[in-house]
Amino acid sequence: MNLSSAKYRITYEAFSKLSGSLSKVESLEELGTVANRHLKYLFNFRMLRIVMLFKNETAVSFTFLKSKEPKIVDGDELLDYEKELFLVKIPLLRALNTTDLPGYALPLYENWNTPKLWGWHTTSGEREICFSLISDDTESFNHSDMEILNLLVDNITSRYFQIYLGQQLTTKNLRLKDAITQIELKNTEIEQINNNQQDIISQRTEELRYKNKKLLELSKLNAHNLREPLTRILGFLEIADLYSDADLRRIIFPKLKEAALELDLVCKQVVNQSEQTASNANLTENGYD
Amino acid sequence: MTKLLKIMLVDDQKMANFINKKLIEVTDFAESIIDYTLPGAALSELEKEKPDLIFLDLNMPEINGWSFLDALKEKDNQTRVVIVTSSTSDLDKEKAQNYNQVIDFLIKPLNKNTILDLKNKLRPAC
Repeated sequence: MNLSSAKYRITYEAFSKLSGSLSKVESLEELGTVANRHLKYLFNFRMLRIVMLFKNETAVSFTFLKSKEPKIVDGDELLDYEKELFLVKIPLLRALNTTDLPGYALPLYENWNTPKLWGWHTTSGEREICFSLISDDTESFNHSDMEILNLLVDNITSRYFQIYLGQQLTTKNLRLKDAITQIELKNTEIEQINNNQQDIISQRTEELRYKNKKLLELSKLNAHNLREPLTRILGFLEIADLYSDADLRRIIFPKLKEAALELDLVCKQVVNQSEQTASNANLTENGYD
Repeated sequence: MTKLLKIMLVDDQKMANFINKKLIEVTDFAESIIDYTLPGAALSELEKEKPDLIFLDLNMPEINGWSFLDALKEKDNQTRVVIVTSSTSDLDKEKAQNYNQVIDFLIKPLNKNTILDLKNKLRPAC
């Protein structure tokens, strides 16, 4: 077995280990930590950065720095060369400038020996991925490592989207649950409003029944009490011509006067009672408003 | 025209009885007229007096016209009744139809013509 095939075998063993571990991770932090732990067995690098675009929005960036904690940033700002990569989609390889580094990586720059910047663009379904690597004379990266880097990027981004979609699902489920709770709450409110309205309707109906009864009483009072003395007056007029003038004055006129006075009294009573009924009705009505 | 009838007037208003009595006299409607302002007294003397016809007011204190009719029913007294009321309410007129012995429903004031109409109505029966 020659050296390169031995290296190849070891690398693939390392990769299958990483792949197995990645398939078990549950969170983004864990994804970063696991990838970071295995990276050094796959190829040489100073910094590896993977940025994912989803529907033209930066979804996430992973930055791995040798012997440092990985950095995972949601909705990260793109670096200038990354913007270029997303635009032109042509792989790049050139000397590294300090302006190519995110702020937190800047202090490491002086430890690197003639660092080089590698960059690639790829797509996977609706996602656009840009990944870049910094190597130097000590940690040299070459084209033979490309295959394993591609596999790694594919693995990390796939896992990321699985976790992302899982989280989305959980969030949506929570929102749905929230919505259902809201709907139930509103239903209860509506039910209460309906019940209240039923109460108000029966109260108003009771009120109307009472008013109607009062009106009926009033109309009965009018029919009986008001007409009674009037019918007497009319009755006297009916029989008036059966009397002589003298008898008319002596017998009928005093009775006529008596009946007329009674009619006057009842008229006053009717007016009083009408006013009372009206003002009672108003009072009760105001009580409801 | 022969005077055959004995009429009982029941009205709490003395003057109403006075007027109706005069109208009955002048129209030659009845042979004799007895009048009551207390319905209770009228009821208790009903058996003794045996009138042919009762002129009954509806709106009276204590015993109103309806109670009077119920009392007649209770006694199984079949004396014919003419309701004479100052009420123009249709409800009363409808209610009167529940009593078989009520033969007419007259609204005050009565006049000679209403009495004469009644007289004609009753003639075949007399």
